[in-house]
Amino acid sequence: MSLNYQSVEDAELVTLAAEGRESAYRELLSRYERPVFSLIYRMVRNRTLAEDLAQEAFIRTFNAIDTYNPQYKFSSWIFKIANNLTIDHLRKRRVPTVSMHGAPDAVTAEAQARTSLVVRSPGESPEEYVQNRELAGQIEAAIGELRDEYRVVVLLRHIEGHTYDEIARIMDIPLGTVKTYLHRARAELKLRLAEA
Amino acid sequence: MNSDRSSYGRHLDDDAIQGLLDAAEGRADAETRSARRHLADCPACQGRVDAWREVFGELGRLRRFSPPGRFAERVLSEIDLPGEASSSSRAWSWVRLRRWLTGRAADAHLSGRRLQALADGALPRKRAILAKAHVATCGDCETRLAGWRRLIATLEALPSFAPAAGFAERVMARWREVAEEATGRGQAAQRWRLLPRSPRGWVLAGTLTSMPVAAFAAVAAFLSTVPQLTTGGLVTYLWWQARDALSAFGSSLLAAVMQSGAAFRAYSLAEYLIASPTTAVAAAAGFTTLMLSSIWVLHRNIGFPRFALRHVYN
Repeated sequence: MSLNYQSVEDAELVTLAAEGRESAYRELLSRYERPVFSLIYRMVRNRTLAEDLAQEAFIRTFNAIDTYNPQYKFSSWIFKIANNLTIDHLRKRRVPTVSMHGAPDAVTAEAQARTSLVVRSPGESPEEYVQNRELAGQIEAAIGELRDEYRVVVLLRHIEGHTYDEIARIMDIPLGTVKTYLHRARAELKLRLAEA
Repeated sequence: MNSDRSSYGRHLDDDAIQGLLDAAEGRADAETRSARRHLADCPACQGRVDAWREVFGELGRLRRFSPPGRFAERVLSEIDLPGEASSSSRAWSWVRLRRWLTGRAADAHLSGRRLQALADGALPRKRAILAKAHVATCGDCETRLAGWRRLIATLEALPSFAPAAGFAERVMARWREVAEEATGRGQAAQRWRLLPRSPRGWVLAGTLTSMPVAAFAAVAAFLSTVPQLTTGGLVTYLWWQARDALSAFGSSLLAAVMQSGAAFRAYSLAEYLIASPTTAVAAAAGFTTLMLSSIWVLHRNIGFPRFALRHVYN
């Protein structure tokens, strides 16, 4: 009988994957490709690089699937791997910030179009698209100017919806530090948005 | 007390009149109905009732005074709400102590940190109740809280980004490559694991292997200096020696087997098996099972690559 993987819990999927079922790996990939990519993309602000790092995060996760501790959520584990990978990369090579309106070295309209981030929610009208793009542009730019650690906590909390405890586990920092980072990050965001 | 009697019966006393006025809006019992009957016919009691009615009216018109600001907050801070952890109570004692030490008023504005936590739903229950009670009476904090809520709502409304199409396929393909590379590296590592891994190791290994070579070379050099020895003679001599040694080893092995009785027992067992075909078949099956199990164990533990993908579909 064929197993419907979409209705299977993460922990069970990991067990099936550890048994060598490729469909379980595919389901995990399908569930987390978007959130993991999103987090990394907002961190490095380069689509190709983000895909490379996300791919590496998945490969590391899959290769270490036997070592997964079911006491914790799988999402925390994969985000921890993705976060460590991204932070390591950013520390090794400082990534230049790319504006929502294109890379700093993009002088022609074509280069600006190629390097700009286009954010669009499905099902919105053209007017809403323009408004949302503008709004998202300001907030995305403000997020992009945050310190790496602040940016991660904000993204994990408000985009991915992790609890403070999960964020502490993902980032390997004390709970109090998570609260401090979040407080400072939001304060900076508010200030930048007020200035914009 | 008015206890005198009239032509309309016994006059109503003050308690009866107050009870009558209290029951004016409510359900009348037998006593009240009797009092009303008396009142309808007794002008004296009607006058006293009017006087009491005036008192009641004055009391009803008394002003309601509002409690001082942050009254609810102060009351809540003094009670232990059910479900709060003891550590939380300790924390609150500390908060009160700090307020007393610093002279900070209990109704001071909420800090940005606390407002953020409230907007984010991250405040413990008791603190959240207190914070909400303050915000309900403080326009400034209410405005600041609304600002934090707007920011959080903006963040939470941000869309997630999808990788380019075919990302999952690329990851799976790359994973297979990595697994195969890891398997290859593992096999290569297995193959070359006896080789030294450092220059020091190479020197030691070289010394150890060169010692017998050097000894052999020394013997060969010495023999070459003896004129009576020829190569053919030396080979013939070594062949004889080897044959004698092998012959002696074979003889001693045969003697040991015969003396231990193992050959006799093996012969007896074979004779027994041939006499009973069922036993022979069972023995053959058992032997085959044992062999297959051994091969499977070897295959799983030695031959099976660690990182190889096992394609089990559904």
